[in-house]
Amino acid sequence: MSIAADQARRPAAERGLRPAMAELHTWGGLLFGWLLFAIFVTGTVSYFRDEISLWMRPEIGQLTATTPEVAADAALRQLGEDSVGVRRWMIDLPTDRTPVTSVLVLRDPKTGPAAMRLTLDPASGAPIKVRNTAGGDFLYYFHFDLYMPQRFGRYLTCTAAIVMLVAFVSGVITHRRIFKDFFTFRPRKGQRSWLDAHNTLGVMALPFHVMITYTGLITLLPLYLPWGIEAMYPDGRQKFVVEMFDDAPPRKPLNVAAPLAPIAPLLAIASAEWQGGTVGRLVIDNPGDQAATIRLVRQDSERISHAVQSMLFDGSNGALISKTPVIGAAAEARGIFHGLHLARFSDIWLRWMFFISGVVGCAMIATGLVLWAVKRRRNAATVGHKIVDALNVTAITGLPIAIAAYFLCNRLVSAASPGRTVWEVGCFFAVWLIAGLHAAIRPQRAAWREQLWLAATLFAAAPFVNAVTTGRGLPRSLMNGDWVFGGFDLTALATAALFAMSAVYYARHGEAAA
Amino acid sequence: MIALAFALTYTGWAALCFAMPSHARSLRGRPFIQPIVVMLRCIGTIALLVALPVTAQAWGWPNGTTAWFGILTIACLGLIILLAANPKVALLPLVGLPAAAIIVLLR
Repeated sequence: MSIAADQARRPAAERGLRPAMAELHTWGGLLFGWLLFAIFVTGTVSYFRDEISLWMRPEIGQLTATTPEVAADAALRQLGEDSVGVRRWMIDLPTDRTPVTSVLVLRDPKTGPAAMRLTLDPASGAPIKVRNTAGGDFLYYFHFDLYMPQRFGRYLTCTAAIVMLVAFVSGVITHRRIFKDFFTFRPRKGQRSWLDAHNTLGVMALPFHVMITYTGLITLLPLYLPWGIEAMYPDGRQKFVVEMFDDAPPRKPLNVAAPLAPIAPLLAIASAEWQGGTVGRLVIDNPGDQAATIRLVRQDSERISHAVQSMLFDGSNGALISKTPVIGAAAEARGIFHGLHLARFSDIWLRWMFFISGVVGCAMIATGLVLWAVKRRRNAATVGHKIVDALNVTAITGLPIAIAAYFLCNRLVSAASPGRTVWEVGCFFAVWLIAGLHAAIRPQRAAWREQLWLAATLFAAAPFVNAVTTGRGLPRSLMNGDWVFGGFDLTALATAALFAMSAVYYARHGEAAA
Repeated sequence: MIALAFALTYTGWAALCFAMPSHARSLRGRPFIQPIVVMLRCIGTIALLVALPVTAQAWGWPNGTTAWFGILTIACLGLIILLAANPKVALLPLVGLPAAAIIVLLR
């Protein structure tokens, strides 16, 4: 005891590597833990971004995707009826995951709305009237943007990712029994259990954790390491962006009307170029003009690499203008890292594995945060400890509550209401804020208990509110094999069960639960 | 193929786990003798490694390698949860998973 106390009094540098690393891990992890938890949760949920977006637009029925040729042709016929003043059509063709054609129309503001989103039936091209919603995209962008202006959020996520990498290295060094305790989890032993859980959750998915954090940093590479780009592109970033995304600025319109060349032969040329790959996106500039161009972009779910492959055609005669050059090894490596992070290449099984690994990551961060508080419980009356306790509750249960509220709000705000996107996002932040206030004013145990039960209730409510408001309830989904709706509802129920179980455990054992 | 990969990784982790004295003690009250420990370690390592070509068979090498890490994690998570509940229960999937794999493969 006296030796330990003596050890603790000496500066970290004199105590050796392990205690120094432990200190770094403890305090770095605590300071960034809440932010990292939010990033991990929204990132994990974003593996199902497309499915969430479909669930949040129930007007899109259970459709089957058509071939790219049929969908592209139908979409262009529909859009061609209204091409006056259009600068660009960006057409995302249907996929196995999203069976509709999604279009962004950019227009000269003098002739109509500057930007308009359309959802089209893949087979007929007829517009489907869907509710306004940010859908899964909101959670996806929050994951790295944190809904902050001026790229501030992105710098913050980058910093958090670097701290996370530091926490992995220092954590592995601190964990002196990494092999001996590989499978060790001793429940109902208080602090011991939280440490066991934190360790095993960290170690069992360590390859995923390190991969996802490192590749996450890679996705924002041009943001925080701009100097290489500045040295290579002294004339400005524009040229770098053009090369990186193979997206040249559009040609000047000639103001001579000319119909678009038939699309099917161009799709065939692109497919042959990509050894049977398919076109995922059409970008058409100046449609209806003689200077029109058609850019075909390869589907990003076919390869691990996220590096763009595209072909640019003349819109009026269908002649090939250019195609993405073969990229160097470093650019391809970046593409693979970015692709691994997004996991768009995954089939449904692999996607679930990524999701579960993500949940393990969330749980690792949460157990780490709780461990900090449990370990210092005898200081519970101090202001600092109370702040940590409140922030723990706000992050670990408050965020899931806010996400559940976001889903519920999608069903409860009128589908026709014009400002409903603002309502949904506002609801998310308002509920999270209220959860934070609740955690701050309630005694710690009551705050945990009440928020765990609230999270369970809200997630359990989602499938029921969905059934009542859309007529696409769980029994019907399961009978029709509608795995988007069925999967969402079942996942919501499973999440609710998890929170309810945690609440029961917590009521019975307190912090000794785990 | 996916079921087989899960069966192999779970078996591999379980073998490595029960090769350790503390986990063997929780299962049967005493550790295994040294030759059995060595054998369990060999079985465990081989089972985990053999799961890699199995996932490659199901997904192709690039995606299969990614999936292998995912399956390793999930099998390990399952084992740890069952171990914490009851070490004897953790043995059940050793029978159930290969049986499921055989059924899926024969179908």
